[in-house]
Amino acid sequence: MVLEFVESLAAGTAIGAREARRRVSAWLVGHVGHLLMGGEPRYIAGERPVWRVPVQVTLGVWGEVGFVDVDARSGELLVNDRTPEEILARVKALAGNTAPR
Amino acid sequence: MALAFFGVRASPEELAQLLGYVPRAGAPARNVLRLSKYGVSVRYQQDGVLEDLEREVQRGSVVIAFVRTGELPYWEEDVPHAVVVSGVEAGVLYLNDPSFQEAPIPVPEDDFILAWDEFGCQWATVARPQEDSL
Repeated sequence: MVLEFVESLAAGTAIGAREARRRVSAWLVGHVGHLLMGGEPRYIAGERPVWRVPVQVTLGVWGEVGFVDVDARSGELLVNDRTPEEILARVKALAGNTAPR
Repeated sequence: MALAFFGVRASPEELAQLLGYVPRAGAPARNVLRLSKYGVSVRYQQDGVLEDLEREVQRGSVVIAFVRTGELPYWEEDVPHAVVVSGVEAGVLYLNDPSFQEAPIPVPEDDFILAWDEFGCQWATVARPQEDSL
C-alpha cells in the first residue's frame, strides 16, 4: 500500500486510494446493490494509470466479485451500462441464487 | 421500517421484487424511489450534508442514510448498511438501526459523517405527499 501510494504520487495522480474506494463504494451502493462496497485499491501503472478497487460482498459470505477501475488522473469510474449486471451475475455465482428472505 | 411508519403494509417479498433486491448484493439505493408506488413521497440524493438530514427530520420525514458500519462505534462489523436518522442535535445524531433493538442510538456527529461519507453521503426520505410539498 505504501509503495503504491508513493508510486501514485510520482505519477502525478489526481486522486488517492481512499477517494478511489469512496467513489467506487458510492457507485456500488447507488447503482448496483447497497450491500456491496469497495475494498482496498491497488495502483496499476500504465499509459492510463488506474486504481483497481475490488468489489466486496459482505453479507452472509465474504468474497470479491470483480473490480472497478478508477482513472487515477481524472477520478472517472471506468464502468459502462453492463457493469452492474456483470457484478450481480458474479454475486449470484458466489452466493447461489437463493430466494430473498 | 419506513413504510410501516406511514401505515403501508407490504410483504418482504413484494418489497424485494419492487426494489430489485438481489440476495447478498442488496438493491441499488436509488431504487428507493420506486416506493412512491405506495402513495408516499420519496426522494433520493447523493452528496448530502448534515443540514439536509436535520431539516428533513424536523419536517417529519423518515430519513434513510447509507453508511459504512465500521465507522459507527456501536458496530463490530464493517459492512454497508442503511439506517434511519431520527434526530439531529449539536454534535450528535440519533439512529434507528434495524440491526439493533435499542433505539434510538446516539452517535457522535464525526463518526456518522465518516460512515456516511464512505458511500458518497447518499440519503433518501419517505414522507406523506403533503409533507414533502411544504
